[in-house]
Amino acid sequence: MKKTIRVHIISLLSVLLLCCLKANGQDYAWLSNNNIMVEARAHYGFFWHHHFEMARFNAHYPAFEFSVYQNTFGKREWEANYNYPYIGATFYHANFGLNFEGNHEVGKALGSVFAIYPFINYPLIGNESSQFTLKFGVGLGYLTKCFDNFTNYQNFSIGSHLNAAVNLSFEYRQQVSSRLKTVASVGLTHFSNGSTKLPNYGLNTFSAAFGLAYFLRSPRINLTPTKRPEYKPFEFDKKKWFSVDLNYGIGFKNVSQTLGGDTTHYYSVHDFSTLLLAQFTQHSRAGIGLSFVLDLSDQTLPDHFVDNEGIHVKKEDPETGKERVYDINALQMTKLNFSLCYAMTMNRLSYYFEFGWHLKYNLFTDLSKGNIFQKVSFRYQVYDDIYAHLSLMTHFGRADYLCFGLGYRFNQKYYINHEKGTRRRPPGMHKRYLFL
Amino acid sequence: MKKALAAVLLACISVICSCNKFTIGNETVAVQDITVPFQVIEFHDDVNVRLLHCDANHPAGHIQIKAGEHLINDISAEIQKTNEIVGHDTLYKLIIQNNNSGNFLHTYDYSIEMTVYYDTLYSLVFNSNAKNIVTDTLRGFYYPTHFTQDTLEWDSLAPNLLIELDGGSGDFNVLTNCYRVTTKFLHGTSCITTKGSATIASTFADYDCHGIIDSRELESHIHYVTSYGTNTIYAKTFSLLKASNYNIGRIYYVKYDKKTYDYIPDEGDWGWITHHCPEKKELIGDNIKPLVE
Repeated sequence: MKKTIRVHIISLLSVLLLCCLKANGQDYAWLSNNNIMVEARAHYGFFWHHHFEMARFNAHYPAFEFSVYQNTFGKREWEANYNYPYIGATFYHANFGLNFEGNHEVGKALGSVFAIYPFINYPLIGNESSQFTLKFGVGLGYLTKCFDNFTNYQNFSIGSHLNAAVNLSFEYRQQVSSRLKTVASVGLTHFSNGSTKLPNYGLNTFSAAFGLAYFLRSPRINLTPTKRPEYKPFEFDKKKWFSVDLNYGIGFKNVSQTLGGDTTHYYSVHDFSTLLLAQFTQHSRAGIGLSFVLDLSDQTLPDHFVDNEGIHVKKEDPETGKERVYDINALQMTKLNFSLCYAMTMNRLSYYFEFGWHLKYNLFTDLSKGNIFQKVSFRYQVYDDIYAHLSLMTHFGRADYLCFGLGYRFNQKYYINHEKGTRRRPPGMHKRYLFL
Repeated sequence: MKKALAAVLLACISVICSCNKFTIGNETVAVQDITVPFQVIEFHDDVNVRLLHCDANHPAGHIQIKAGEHLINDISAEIQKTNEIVGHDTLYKLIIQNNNSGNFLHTYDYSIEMTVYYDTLYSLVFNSNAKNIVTDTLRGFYYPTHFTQDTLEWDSLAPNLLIELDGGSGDFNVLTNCYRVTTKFLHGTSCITTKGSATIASTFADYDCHGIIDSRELESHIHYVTSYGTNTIYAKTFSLLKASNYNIGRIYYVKYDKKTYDYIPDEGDWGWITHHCPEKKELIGDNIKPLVE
């Protein structure tokens, strides 16, 4: 086992060394212009069971990661506003069976994981020589073992091999020389498929890590923010704006491992939502949302059954108090949701956090997962008003569905510039705002 | 900056110094005697339990706990009054728990062993991740029962045993010899093996069940199986099996009697039955089948 660890460490260091050595003149220029760093980190952590059944697999084990990233230097305005964050990608590997307690069940049931995720690492306090940072990354993970109701039923954390990998770490970075930094961190790495294939309680690992980060060329001096020549509609122009966002997202769910049915069939989830948001700082917006969600996998819930004539639900009649079978259509299963929303913007990329309630407006609204939900979305402004989004709906950490789609934003200014005594559109705005 | 660093370091050091759980300590044995008679036992956490019938040397309620000295104080076996009344008796339950926290600080390579001596048991409730819970022969608890299972109705003063799995991922072995044994698997990934004999055995698995119910060594005359789970159930019976499967789990049966009957639903004939939920038959398929060893 120790030999395996040594092999892993040597491999990582070799990759690091190769990256340093194999570069020609053009690469050097690119590396120098972009403040590129490489980092190798060794973790030691434990499996955190947020579901009691998974406590069977409690163990300590090592993990390894290798990252390539840019230490931003203020090329864009938001970089300076966020205190020059680090942006890059990490490759992560952990073998759950490589534990020091000799708990062989862990390896058999959970196997190992390979993940690659882009990340952004925000400096919180400190300066370039010594700073605390918060790293947040989302990407893809591959787990070698997943749930099977006959052969691997005790691993009911994860129902699929391919999953989302999420990392959240608090780090301390100490400069050793002009190009070398040491990094110490504690963090959580989470794997989940967003309930695309049930069961999906998720795998969590907490770990402490130590690593070395190296600038491939001498670091650049940070640029201070200058006056922006133009604001795009999704950016804050120091005026007051509100926007109405219309989204459509589609997701897919396979519930065969828990609720039965064809193991290859994926039920679709349709999410129509609208958000009314007001911008109140350069990078923050907040508001309310209303959404309609049609989750077709609800027809496989207990007391639901489907035949040629449609969907039937066995429910207690509120008038008579007796159980009866109702014939319903898919639209009657649609959930109506209300939410409070906060958005954080970095150039074209935004994070949206929603906290909301399912409103029970008819007898067939399924509230078995709870009537309070949380939704996290990532948006990318493809054009000025059109964006692509990826959203994850959860009920207190338990994923319900993952959906992706497109949206359109209607921007509206409600601030009058009294200083100039005239209403004017900010530079870069589309013509349709001229009526303001 | 330096002050902030020093504060964080000091906080970490003080937390670490206040915690003695970096090791589990030397193995220690503690003894506890409970005088209140109990009829129900609830198993929690990761305590491996052995249930033994009381004898002259070990009265009912005598408990032995073996664990590391840093853990043993937080392992509890407490009596609680239940709301359940059987006949004129109020039932009391023994709750076995491991209340140690911060376990990630020490090795997970340890075990907590407990031996409990009992007199009469009516119910075992498992919500445990223990890898070994073994029982002596359980004779059940006598109380008047009115059975109304479908068309079979009768009154009985018979020993009954109720086994409930309400979470956890443990391995449980229950040896029993009583009139009726009911196994209710409500939630979890546990594996339960029942052995011995029962006139009537009832097995129920709910939607969120993923573990195995193995009754291959439980010799029953009549066995009712109802499964809403995705798990595997093994059943053995002399004369009658009524199995209803509402999900993708499998029910394997062992026919003790060579004579095989077909189910004729309208005529109410009893025999070997393969009964599907008609509404979901297409989804489930034929998952009730004889076990081929």
